[in-house]
Amino acid sequence: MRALLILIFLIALGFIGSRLAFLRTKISLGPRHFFLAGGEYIVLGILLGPAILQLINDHTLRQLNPLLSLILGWVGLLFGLQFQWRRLKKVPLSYFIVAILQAAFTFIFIYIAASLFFIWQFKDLMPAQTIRLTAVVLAAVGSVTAPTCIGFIIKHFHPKGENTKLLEFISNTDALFGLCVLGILFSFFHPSKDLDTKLLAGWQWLIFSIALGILLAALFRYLTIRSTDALEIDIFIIGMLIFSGGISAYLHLSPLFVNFILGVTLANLPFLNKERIYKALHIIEKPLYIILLILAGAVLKILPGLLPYAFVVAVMYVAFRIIAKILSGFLAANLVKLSFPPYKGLGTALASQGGVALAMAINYQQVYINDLSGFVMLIVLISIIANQLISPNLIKSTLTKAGEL
Amino acid sequence: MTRILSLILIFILMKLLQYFNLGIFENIAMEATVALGFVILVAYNVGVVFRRIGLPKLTGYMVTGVIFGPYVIGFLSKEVVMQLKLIDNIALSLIAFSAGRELKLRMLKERAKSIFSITFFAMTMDFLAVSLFVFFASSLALRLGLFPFLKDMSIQTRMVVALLFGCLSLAKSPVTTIAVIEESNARGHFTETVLGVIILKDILLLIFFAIVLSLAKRIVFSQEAFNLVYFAKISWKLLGSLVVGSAVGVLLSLYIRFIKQELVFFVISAAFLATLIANQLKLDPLLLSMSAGFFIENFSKEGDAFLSAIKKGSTLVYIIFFAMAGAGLNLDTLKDVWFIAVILLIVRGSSTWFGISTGSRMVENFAPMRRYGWTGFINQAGVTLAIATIIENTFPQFGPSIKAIALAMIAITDYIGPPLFRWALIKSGEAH
Repeated sequence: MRALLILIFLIALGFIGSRLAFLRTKISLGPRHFFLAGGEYIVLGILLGPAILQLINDHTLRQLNPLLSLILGWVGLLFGLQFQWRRLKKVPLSYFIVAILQAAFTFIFIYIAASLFFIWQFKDLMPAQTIRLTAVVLAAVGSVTAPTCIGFIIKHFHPKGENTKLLEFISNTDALFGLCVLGILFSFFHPSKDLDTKLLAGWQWLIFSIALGILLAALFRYLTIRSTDALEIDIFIIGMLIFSGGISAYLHLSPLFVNFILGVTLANLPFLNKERIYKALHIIEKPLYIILLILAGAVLKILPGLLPYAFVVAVMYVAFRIIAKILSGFLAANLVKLSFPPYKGLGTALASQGGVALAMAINYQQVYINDLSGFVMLIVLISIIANQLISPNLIKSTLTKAGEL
Repeated sequence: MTRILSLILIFILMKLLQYFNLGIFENIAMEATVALGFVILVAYNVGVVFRRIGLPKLTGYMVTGVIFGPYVIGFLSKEVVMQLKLIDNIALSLIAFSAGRELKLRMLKERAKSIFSITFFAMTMDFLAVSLFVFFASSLALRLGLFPFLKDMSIQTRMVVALLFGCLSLAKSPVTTIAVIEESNARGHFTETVLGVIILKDILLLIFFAIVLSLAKRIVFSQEAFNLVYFAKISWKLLGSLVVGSAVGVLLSLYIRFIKQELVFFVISAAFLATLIANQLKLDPLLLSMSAGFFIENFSKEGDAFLSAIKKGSTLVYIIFFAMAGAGLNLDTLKDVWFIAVILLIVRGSSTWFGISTGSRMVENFAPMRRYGWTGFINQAGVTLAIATIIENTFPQFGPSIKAIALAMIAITDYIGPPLFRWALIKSGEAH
């Protein structure tokens, strides 16, 4: 009963929040973007969660796990649907390579730094596998750029030029790398690995995840292929999201990754109701995203005594990530032959983080419950909030220096 | 063909999950999530197939629950069914909102005599026929071994059992009847009369059962016959539900009128909160929600918007509710008592037909009501279960046996009731 009540409360907050507009308010760029991107809901989640007010306690959070799986699945599906071959064909291949290379370099830089840091700090306190896992997750999450901030700048300041187009494409695409890393992580470090009842090998879980995504896409297509009734399509969408999120979570795979594969497959299968499905998924985007933000804050668990230390580490992570992004952007843009000379500091505009990064961190914390998972969550939350505040100015400054604003 | 292919794919996926028996991680919430998605996709498709062969969709949902429930294929375990039962509150309130909305003042004024007459005769016939049958047949039944729990019981106790069965026979399920009406988009004289009778019966039953229960306790436990506190509670339950329900109706209509946002989500939340309020204040959730719906239809201008929101939100809720009702059917219990249940249903069905036919003839002699009216009163879920549970808890000596028979009756009527009533709506010319 309590879980259902909290669920209704969260959804109500989601709907109310999605209606709030700060566009007319004369506040500066960073905070304006912070509120538009929903940063305040993370703070609200922290307040409501077990750490402070305990209105959403541990038991309720466990009962709301299915909702989290649904939302994670939805994030993955929405991201995957972008990868329609017909649309991707129109984008220069070099853009795609820059996006992936940039993400890969960021991942490598953060992974090395995080590994060294954790080994230095926790070598005698944590198993090596925990340290490796944590470093991989932080690096994967750090490699992802949120498209909302760049979209915000484009909408309000109308920059024009090739650097803008490239940045927009990178921010929409680079999460592909991080998501694939997450999928590989969940496969090769599957929770059943450490138990006597080992079911599949790592590579088998990976193939299974991909096959599952494709199978679910085929199922979705068959279900909706002849539907003409809008209500019927909506029922299938909701049913599929719950089913696919549930299966992935039940098997301790990443609902993000499996649904991403589902989305990619669906985007490239021919059938009539694609537009209707996109529309339905986008209608629920804002409320579901707000619920994700609140739950992200609520799942945060860290010992109060460790907070100052964790905060310092988080700030270091934010700073290092921005440096990694600048370096990676520079390397990627210069290693690949582009049709225009890219601005050298392009990576500065790729600092923003948002929904996909958050979803990845939550997904990790749901499955890998260890001494560092709360730590990871805090670092990611602070990174997201900080980047939401500073990214708009960074992007604006980059595009101005690139002569496109 | 594509529907069948999809169902096969879903079946394969569920089988795969059974193969990957990750009971080592034991996460009932995740299992319930998969089950929920499964139920939505499969039950909906089965419902469509049932509709194509002329049966109500909700029968399809229930059959899905039975087949994939814990007693047959087993994709839905008992624990998962219990988890998903949370949706019951929302479904019942949504249905009650709808029912209340269907009760228009104009209609009630026009059909008051007819509704009262039919209710009086139907209730009288049902109660007398079933009580007398159980009382007299129990002597014979004992020799045949049909009512084993009545063995060695005094004649007074057997009389009490007979009276309690009489009460159980009066309980009808407005839930399923209204769901069939909605699914069939039925409108007209026949539909409105059935709805009016079923709601009035429910209200009168609460009072009647309170009287019978007091009498029964006096006979069995030598307690004081009429406990004023108990009757005060019943009065509060009835009157309070009407008043609080109307207040809820006011709030709902204000929201619909002035805010007008996310109505589907709002109505579903309101359905849940109405049940919460009813449970907190010890009111009747069904009556409360019906009063809310009645208020919105008759005292505000928001009836159509309200109905539209209910229709959009209810399909998904009904799929889960009726599928879980099917999955919750205990086939083991049914197997032991089905014969007694069938006999009682035949007696009850005959008395219902006779009572409704007589009641209709007395006032307006409306042919569809005389011929088909009885089909709207076959279903027994909901209130019957509540009464059976009270009997079980109050009379431990024979209560559990009565409840088992009541559950069997509910199970049988759940499957024959909706198709019969739908047939009646079509024959009456009011189904669309």
